[in-house]
Amino acid sequence: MSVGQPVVRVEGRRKVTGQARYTADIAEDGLVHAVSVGASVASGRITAMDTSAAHDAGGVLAIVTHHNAPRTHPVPGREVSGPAGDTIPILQDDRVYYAEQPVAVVVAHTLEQARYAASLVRVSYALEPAVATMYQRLGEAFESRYARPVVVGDVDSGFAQADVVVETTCHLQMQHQHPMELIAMTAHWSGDELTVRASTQSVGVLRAGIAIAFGLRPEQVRVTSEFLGGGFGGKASLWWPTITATMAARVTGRPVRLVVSRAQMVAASGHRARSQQRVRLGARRDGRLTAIDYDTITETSAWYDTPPPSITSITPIPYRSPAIRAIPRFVKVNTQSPTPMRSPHEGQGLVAIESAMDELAERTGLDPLELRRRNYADREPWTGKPWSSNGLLECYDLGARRFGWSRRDPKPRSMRQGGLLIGWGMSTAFRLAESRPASARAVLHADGTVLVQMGTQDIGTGTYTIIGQVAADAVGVTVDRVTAEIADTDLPPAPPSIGSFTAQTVSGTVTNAGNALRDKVINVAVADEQSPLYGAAPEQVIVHNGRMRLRDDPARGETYAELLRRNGLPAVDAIGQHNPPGIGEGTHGRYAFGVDFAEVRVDPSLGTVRVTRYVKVIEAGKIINPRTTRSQVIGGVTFGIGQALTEVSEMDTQHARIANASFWGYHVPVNADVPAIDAQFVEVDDPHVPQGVKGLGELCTIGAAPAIVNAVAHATGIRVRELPITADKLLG
Amino acid sequence: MEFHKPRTWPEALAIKAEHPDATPIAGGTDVMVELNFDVHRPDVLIDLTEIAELREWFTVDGRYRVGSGVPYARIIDELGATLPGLAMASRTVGSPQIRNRGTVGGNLGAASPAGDAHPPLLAAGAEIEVASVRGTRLIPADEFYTGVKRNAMEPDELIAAFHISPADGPQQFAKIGTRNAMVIAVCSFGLALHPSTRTVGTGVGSAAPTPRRAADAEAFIAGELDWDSPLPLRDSVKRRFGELVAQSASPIDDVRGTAGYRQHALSVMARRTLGWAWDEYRRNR
Repeated sequence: MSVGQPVVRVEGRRKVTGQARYTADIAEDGLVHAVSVGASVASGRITAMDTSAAHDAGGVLAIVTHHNAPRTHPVPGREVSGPAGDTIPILQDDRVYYAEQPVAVVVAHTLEQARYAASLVRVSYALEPAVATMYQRLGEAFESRYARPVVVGDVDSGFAQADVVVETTCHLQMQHQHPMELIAMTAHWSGDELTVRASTQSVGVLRAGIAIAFGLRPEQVRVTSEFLGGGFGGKASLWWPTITATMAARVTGRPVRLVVSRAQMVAASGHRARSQQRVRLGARRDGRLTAIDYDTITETSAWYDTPPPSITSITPIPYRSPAIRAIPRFVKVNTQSPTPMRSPHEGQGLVAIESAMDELAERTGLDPLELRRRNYADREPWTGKPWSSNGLLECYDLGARRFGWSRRDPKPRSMRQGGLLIGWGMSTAFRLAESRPASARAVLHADGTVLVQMGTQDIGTGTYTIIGQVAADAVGVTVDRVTAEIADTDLPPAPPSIGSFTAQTVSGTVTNAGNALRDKVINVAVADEQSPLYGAAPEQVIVHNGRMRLRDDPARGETYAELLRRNGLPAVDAIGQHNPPGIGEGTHGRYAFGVDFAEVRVDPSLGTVRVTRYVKVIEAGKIINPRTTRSQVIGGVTFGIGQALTEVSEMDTQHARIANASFWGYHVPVNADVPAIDAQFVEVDDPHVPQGVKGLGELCTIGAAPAIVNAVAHATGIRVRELPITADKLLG
Repeated sequence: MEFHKPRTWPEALAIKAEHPDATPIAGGTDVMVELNFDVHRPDVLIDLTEIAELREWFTVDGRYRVGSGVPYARIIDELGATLPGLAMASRTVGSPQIRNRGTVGGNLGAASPAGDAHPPLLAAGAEIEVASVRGTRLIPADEFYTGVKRNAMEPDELIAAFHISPADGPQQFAKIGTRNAMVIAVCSFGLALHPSTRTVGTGVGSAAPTPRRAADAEAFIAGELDWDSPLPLRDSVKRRFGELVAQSASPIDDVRGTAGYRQHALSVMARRTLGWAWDEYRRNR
């Protein structure tokens, strides 16, 4: 079996030696360059534009503004994909909704010429009042018809039965994905056919969105994306870089590349929205929950009043409770539209829920882990459905043992070493484990190699590698015989690489394609009079290392290559389809689970925090590749460290502009902030998901920030409710 | 933009004399960032990286003359034992790549209050050698910084080197950032014990419009230390020293930290570095 082996990432060598070509690296004949001019105000109307100096600058081919831009059709965000994307018209009118919204696009022969000319475009605005943060408009919070409240039982009677009530309000900051690779697009028209090379998490979403916007049939649009230098949710939807690059290519008749600058990244796609999270827990003296009352207020953009669930910032509840009420609400602000980032839902809301659980542990005198065990949900709390599988309790056991949790002194500020306060904190982690409809084509060549074609993406997580592993097992060859071709709308369609869908979707789809191919070739063999397998029952034939043979008579068989060559077949192919139930549909709740244990050391005089030890255990069904999974855990926990300690997009409340739109001021964790991370897996059999595989990408981040928040509270006795935890907040 | 790449120091000075508004560039770790952000668009750039003598260091009468183009990585490797305070600060600069390119001369030219090299230069009593076609002069570090990103140089001058005595006693540097590496200082503090003159030098970074010495703290502690029969320092002395250092600062609130936090953190860093340095002095006697 190849699945389950720590197969080395197939494209790893190309990436670390610089041979992998990312979108902005790919040259094309006649390529010209586009640079967006962003609005300098966050709300208002354009009253005048002077592009004469820019036009006269060297090398300029075109300046696209709302006066001369190709007309586009509105693209409704939800219809294209769950995440929003730019649903306002780009360069279609004089309205400005957020700072750095494109008001012009300059196209020139070189990037430097375009950048310089862009700096010469002069725009005048009629300024309108801008809402910088939701705290200016909390009274106007509204519910979205797409993001409905969850109500189970009656919370009032739940609180009436409670011996202990804990209430907490957390404030989570605006953050940006800031992947290493900038958003990049190359658009190339040939007549009415358009090819877009994109740095995207979904070639399919971009194709559908471009087709709607420019009034094309989807077949007229091809989108490809060979490698991605990180996306984290910010490259999953149709945003203005794609639209403006396509317009610029239309206007100039040239292939156009547009690479967003680091400073523009805060406006070129969505972000994790600021949110306020209020949690009230009612519990018996023994810690058993009687009621959970939970509401969130999350920022949305000024024009987007129907935000989807994915940006509510509200988490499903991981614990059993007879009464649950969860209400997401929104406030409109003058920012780009928010979008899922790294881990929506649980990745945000669990900070508040798990903080409240720790406060409940203190109030009831229970160990935090014991409190969570007592409230273990043996069914999906909000539907009552049984879990498809659930290894959470094993995760708790393994994690606590590896971390040494039983040696924790529950008293805050009680554990010290060398003048530093030591804190231990933990959090439950869980995330839906779903897949989406997809198809794949598997091709067996006469030399015995296998090609798998699927319109999925590798966003850096190892999709190329796991496709090879899954296909190898299904077709019956070794993994080195398989090549994957992905991220092209000419290939069989697959969903966006979001929502931790990819591994499960790939497993289901590629297994079906590989099985279909194997069966097709076996059928050729048993019908071939010259084959040693002639006349055998197909179900009696098994394949190992590319050789077909009878189950009960290993000597009787031949290789795929021998069969194909003898029959003069250059290749045989088969299509596999995957049609899972819709998200949340079916008889079982499908989730992956985990637990985070964090140790921090806090300098009590300076308030500085270091994460010094970390154990993360995940249960995601069958682990396809422990090596790439371990990498995902390390990356995911690193995201959590940033969320808890360093990352915040600072909003200038006067101008509604982000003040630290660059890596000098937006601090993702560096090596010195990340300890060695002990990544452990609990494997369980899950017959209700394809190949027993549950997605785990977002699960790796979920739980990390709350575990660190709880560890800091344990170390210092100070419970920080406004992230990130900066040093000044820990000085009593 | 005009771009000059002089091969010799006199040639560089002649260009600067002809173009007093020209921006000199060495490692580029400040200038290129400003160009990239379009904060600054000089008409003339003078690239100093071809001038070999700026990358040299040697001793003159027992003092070190370190060329303005010596990168941080070489200060750490080649001068770490003799200039420990500056080497400690240099280790906190950026990443290995930045330390390979960035220079103390660049730090001095930019004169940002947050520059990591300034506190140890102040604490050690360094002098900055600046030159023009008119001649060469030495400016004491504590007269060099005149305002936010401003220094005492004339428009036609370039930074040739800094002069600094080898450590005659323990030196320390402490810095707080919003993460553990690759970060601009929220605030920083450099300290040098000078047993030969029975004085203590200080340098406060990122907590005032300019890097500056904490003169009151230096005067106070000079009166408290018994260099001949050094006893452990009393907590009250360390605290008072820390308070005086904090009082010497005039910080602001910004995205990296609040003024209140900076003052508090300075007092903590000052008393700790004093304690570490004094303990080392006692051990080594």
